[in-house]
Amino acid sequence: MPTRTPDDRPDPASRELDSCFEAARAAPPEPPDALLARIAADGLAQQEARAAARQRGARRLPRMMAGLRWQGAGLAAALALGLFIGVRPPETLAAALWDTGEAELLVDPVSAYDLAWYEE
Amino acid sequence: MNDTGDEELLARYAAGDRAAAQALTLRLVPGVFAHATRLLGDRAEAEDIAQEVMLKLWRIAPDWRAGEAKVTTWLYRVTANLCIDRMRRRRGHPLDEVPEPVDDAPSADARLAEADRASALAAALSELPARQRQAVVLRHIEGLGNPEIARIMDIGPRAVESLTARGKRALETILSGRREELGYADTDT
Repeated sequence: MPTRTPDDRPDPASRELDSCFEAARAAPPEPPDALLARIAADGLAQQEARAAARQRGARRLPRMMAGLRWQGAGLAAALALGLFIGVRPPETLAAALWDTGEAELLVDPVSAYDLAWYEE
Repeated sequence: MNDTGDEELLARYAAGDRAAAQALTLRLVPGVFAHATRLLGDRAEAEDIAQEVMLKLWRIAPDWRAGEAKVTTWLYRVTANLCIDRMRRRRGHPLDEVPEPVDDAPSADARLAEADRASALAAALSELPARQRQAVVLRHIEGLGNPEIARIMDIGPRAVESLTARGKRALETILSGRREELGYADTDT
């Protein structure tokens, strides 16, 4: 620790202020017990509120998962059906889909060609 | 739990450890309350501030990012911000309403006790601008270093030096009017 010579001692006003600081440090304002109790109670109440929220979340999770399972099963079924129809379309479905073109194919151009042969 | 760090205690609190809530209260509230009292000069208001600051800490605990800031630095910062808000709200009140030091008319040659000097300092501090007061309290009463004060006040270390130097000069001027009363009249030599 450096030693102070009389020449570089702080001026009286500064020394007085330092002694006031020392006095303030020596006697910090103490919180009342009631305040400590209120703050600790706040802390515990926050903990309990978070725990309750976690429990509510934990109870909702299985229901959400069950809902998701049903939705997932429905989606998988729809995908499988779509794939099956794409690969091997049932005749009735194919007929319904390509019904309009069939009649025109029967008339043109094969029927015109056959007719020409008959005319000769 | 005495040798457990603040951050570790806060993590235990966030995980639901009830004892951690008690330990954090006993460890941190005295500092928060003392700092608020020194900034505001009013114990009742300091109690409100301490409760509000700690409520913020309880709420932020699960999201506390370890290693980013010291818990005490965060507390000093939040405490000071709330105190400065209060000081701004009550600005306009005449200085007469600022608590005066206790004056029980001591005998002419009696020196005031240490508590009276602390009380005189508290009254003098209340006359400083808020940021000067905050810097002086952090440096000369809380005993923090300039780098930490700079983090708390969100300013550079040079600005901290400037604020504390101006604050000290202002305090010396204010207290010089009470030298005799404080028992310093014969210490000039």
